[in-house]
Amino acid sequence: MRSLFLSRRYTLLTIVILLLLFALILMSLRVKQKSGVNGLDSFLIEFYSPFQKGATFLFNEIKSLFYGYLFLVELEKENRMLKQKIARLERENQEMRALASSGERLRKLLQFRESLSMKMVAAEVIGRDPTAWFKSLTLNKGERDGVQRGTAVISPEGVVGQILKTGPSHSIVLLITDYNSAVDAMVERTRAKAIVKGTGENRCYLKYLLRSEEVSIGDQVITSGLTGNFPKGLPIGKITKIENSRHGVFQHAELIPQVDFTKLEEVLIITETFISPPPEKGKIMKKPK
Amino acid sequence: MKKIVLALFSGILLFTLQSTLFTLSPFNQFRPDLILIFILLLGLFYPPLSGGLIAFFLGYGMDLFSGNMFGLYTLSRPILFFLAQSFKNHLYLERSIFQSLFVFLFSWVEGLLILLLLQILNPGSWEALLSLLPSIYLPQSLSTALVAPFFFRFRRRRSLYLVSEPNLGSGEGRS
Repeated sequence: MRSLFLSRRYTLLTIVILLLLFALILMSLRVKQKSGVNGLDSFLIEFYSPFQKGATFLFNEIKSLFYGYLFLVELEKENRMLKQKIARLERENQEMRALASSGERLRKLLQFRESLSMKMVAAEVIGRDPTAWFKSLTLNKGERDGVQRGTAVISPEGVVGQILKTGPSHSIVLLITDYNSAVDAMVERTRAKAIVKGTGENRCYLKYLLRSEEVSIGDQVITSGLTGNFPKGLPIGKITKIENSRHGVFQHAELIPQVDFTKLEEVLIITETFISPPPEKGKIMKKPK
Repeated sequence: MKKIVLALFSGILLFTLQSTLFTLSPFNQFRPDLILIFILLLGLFYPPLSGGLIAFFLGYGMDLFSGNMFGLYTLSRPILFFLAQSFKNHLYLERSIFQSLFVFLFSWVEGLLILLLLQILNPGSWEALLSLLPSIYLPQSLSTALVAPFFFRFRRRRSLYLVSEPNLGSGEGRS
C-alpha cells in the first residue's frame, strides 16, 4: 500500500489532493473566523510586511532622486560644474519641498486629529492590495498600537475604510471602494439616510436611498455615526450620478470618494469605539482647512 | 534546498513589487499580476512538491494582504500550478505570442474560479463582481499577458533558480 502511494504515478495526485484539501480547510476556518487573524496569519503578515516597508521606502527615495536629479543629467560638459551645483541645489530644493509637503500633510493630520476628541493612532501606508478584485491597504500599525478588527480608518480628507485584518504591528484596511465595504451615511444637505457601498472600482454608490428623498449631483455625503465605527459628519464623497427608475422604492446614486486612495500616504485609525451623540439637525463636524 | 529558497524569495520579491511599486502607476488597472506569471513558470519548469508548496505559500500571502477573508488565492494558485504542470507537455510555448496567450488564458481560468468561489462563499456579490470583469480584470490580464514573454525570456537566459528540464513547454508530449 505504502509503495502504491509513493509510486510516481500517485505522488503528484497525493500532493495535489493534500494541498487543495489544506486550502479548503483554511477557507472553511476563515469563513467562521470572528477575530482579527490567527497565529499563522499574523506571523506571515509580520514576515511579509518588512519587505513591503523596505520597498516603499526605497521606491520613495528613488522617486525623489529621479525628480530631483536625474532630469538634469544631460548637461553640457563646459557647464558641468555650474550645472552640477544647480542639480545639487535642485535636489536639496526637492528634498526641502518633499519635507515641506510631508510636514504639511502631517500638520493637517495633527490638526484634524486635534479637532476630533477621540483616541487615534497615526499610521503609514506601506502596501496596497496585490489582487485585482479587492481594495485594501497595508498599514504599519497593529494590535500592539490598539488597532482592532472593524475600527475606522480616516484621513483629513474623509473616510478611508475599516480594519479587516490585524497582526501584532501591521494591519490591513478594507477601503470604502471595495465591493464588500458598507458604511452608514447620509446626504449632508437633505439628511437623507443611505448606505455607502463600494463598487470595486474607484467609486461608490448609495444603497437604500429612498426615491422620495431629494438629492442632486454635487451633494456631499457624510457618515451618519449610527454604526459605532465612524464618528458622525465625516465626509465620504460627492454624488456624481443619479438614476431614477420608474418603479421601485429606492433610487440609485453614484459618488466619488473624497479621498484619493492612489495618493494616500498617512491615515488615522480610531482606536476607541465611537458612541453616537443624539442627532442634532444641521450640526456636523468641522472639516479641516 | 538552495533553489527552493531562491525561488521562494523571488516570489516574495515579485509580491513586494506587485503590492508597492506597481500600485504607484496612475493606470492601476493595468497592473500586471507578476506572481501569476511566476507560478505558471513554476508549473512548467519546477517539480510538483516544492513548486506546489511555493504556489500555496504565495497564494496564502496574497490572501493575507488582500481585502478578502476567504483564502481564495491559497486555493486558486496551487490549482493553477498543477494545471500548468498537467499541460506542460502539450503546449508549444517557444514564441512570445503563445506565451502571452497561455498566461492570458490561465489568468481567466483563475478569474472565473474566483468568481465562482465568491458566489458560493458570499452570495449576492455576483453583479458587482461581473461588472469588474471588463473594467478591472480584463486590463489586468492583458497587461499580465504582455509582460509574460519577458519572464519566459529571463528564465531561458538564466535558469538560476528554476530546475531546467529540456523540451518542457516546447509541445513535445511524453508518451
